[in-house]
Amino acid sequence: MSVWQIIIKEIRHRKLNFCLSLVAVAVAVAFLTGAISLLNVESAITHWLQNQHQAEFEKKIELKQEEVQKAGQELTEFARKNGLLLGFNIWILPENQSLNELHVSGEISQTFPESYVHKLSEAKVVTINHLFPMVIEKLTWEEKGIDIILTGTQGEVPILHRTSKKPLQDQVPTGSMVLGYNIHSELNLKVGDKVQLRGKEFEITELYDQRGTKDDSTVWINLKEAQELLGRQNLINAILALECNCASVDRIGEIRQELASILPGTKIIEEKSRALARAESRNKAKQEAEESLAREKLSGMTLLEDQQHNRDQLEQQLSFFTTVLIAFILICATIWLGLLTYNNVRQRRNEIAILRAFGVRSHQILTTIIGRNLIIGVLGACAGILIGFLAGNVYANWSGTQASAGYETPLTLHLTDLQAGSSLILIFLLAPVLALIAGWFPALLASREDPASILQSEN
Amino acid sequence: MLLQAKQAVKRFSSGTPNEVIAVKDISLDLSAGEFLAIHGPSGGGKSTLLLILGGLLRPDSGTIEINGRQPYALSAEDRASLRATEIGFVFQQFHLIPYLTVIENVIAPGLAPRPAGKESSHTELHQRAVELIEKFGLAARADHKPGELSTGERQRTALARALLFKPPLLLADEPTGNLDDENARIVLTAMKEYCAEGGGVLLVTHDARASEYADRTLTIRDGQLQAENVPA
Repeated sequence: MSVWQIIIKEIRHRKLNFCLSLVAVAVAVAFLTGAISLLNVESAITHWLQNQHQAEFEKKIELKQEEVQKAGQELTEFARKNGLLLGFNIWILPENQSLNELHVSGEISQTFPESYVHKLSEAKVVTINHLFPMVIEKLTWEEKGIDIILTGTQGEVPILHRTSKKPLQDQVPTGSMVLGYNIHSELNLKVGDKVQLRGKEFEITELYDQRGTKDDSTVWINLKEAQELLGRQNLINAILALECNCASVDRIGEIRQELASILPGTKIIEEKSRALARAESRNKAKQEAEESLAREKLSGMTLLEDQQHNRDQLEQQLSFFTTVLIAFILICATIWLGLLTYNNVRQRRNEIAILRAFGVRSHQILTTIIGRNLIIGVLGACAGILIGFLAGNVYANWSGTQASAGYETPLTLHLTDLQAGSSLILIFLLAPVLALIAGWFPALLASREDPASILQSEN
Repeated sequence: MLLQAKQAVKRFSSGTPNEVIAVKDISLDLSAGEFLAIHGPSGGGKSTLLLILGGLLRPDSGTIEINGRQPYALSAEDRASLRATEIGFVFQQFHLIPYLTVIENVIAPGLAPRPAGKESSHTELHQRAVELIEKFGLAARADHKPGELSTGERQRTALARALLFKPPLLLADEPTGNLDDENARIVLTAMKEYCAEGGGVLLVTHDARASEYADRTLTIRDGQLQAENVPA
């Protein structure tokens, strides 16, 4: 007969004590396993949610960025299409031209030589780009009985020291006429119609859509023909310079300074076109959109960081609470097991005494008590791990489903998310160690008890 | 001499007003093959004397020798070893292990480590146990647990257990105290036979029936041996 046979037979004999001891260990281990599973599940869910939020946020920002980019492209396209009137445009006028007359009646009655535009085109100017000489006269189109603004233009005069660029505006060919919206709509004119202006025949080559500006009441013809019709040979009323380049804030001042030496006797005013205002407005809108995007990005990142921080805090609190609870349960289980072991030892005083009387050594007695607790620890660990693991798995499935509700991708938690193998091994080792600790004191008492006093008291 | 006690004294609550001298200056000896019965009333010091003689309770003074070895001069482990090899115990309350069967109870002393040269294999022990339970009429009860046995069967089991290793000395404390005449006769006869085989038996009892089997009878009262009675 061996010590282990004694242990097994004793366990079978005192089943209640053994079962209660087993329950103590199993409950403690189940709590420990379940708590670790719970913490791991919470951590995995947090990580998953964080990734989902991050992905959603990035997707949202990406969409916004696309919108902003699209808006930017539209703006660029708009600017390109409206390049004629975009950017920083100026009028070069005769020095004696009354601006009051220009602003009140829209007329430019003063002239300067057409050669000015050629002089300018040959000069190495850097602040201005495209040059459009023109004559402008507000008159009554006698043949049609309507007041118009007649504009003679020859298209762009190239600036010679620059590399050749595509002209921004085509020349109006001789004998052709371009009509603003009000003119062609009131007179019911179409492309290809032939009309008389001051006795000269013109063919209508283009009709403009409504612009909502004085252009709607303008008739464009070739510059030379306009000069002849108006008796202003070799004279022009103004030069329109488009897309001027100025680095400084005082752009007008900069241009005036450069042109003063080339074209004395001229004055310069800035063309504030509606297109420019619209472009500026769009620029501002783009800038605001970009700023809003940046703010949203920052706010989103802050929100994500806050969420992460909050969940981290929650996890820490949960972890702390769980640690305290588990420590409490482990201590209670150890004490409970210790008391049960002590009770078992008390019940076995006689058998221990008689075995000692027959010469069984104290360490063998110690082994029978400790061995019993070792078995309780191992079996309790197995049962507790199984229960804790199953409970953790149920919680993981439920919690995963709850957490991923409303998301496209469901959260799937694997068994490895619940417990690492190493932690399971540690838990498995911890239970027998605790059982040994719980049984050590009663076992030591039993092994050291004086058999004579027991045998004496029993007889 | 198998067992010798010289001027053994044992006090309880020593140095207090409640001091009790359980054993007063007792000297006795027991030879191999001798059956010694010590009579006395309850509380007379019989059980205390038996524990002292069995190496379980250290006397305050005096010496004990078992087969020439003084148990109380040995370490606890050596004393346990001495008990395992030299002494068999039988108690009034049997002290059987409740979750072991009769045969397992008889084999139980086999748990104690034996000195070199005196080891027994499990088979040898089992064989010896079977012989003993057959001898004591327990063969049919071999696989029963103590709870399923009668009082007499329990005591016979306890006696079989004490004799497993054929110890030179058998110490019995009131072995017939709870037994009817028939069972008392079986137990005492077995002890007598054991003496005939060369074993020494020291029995403390207040049972008068024991005197009929004993070679010598001593009386103990208030911890002191009173008289010696040798049957004719």
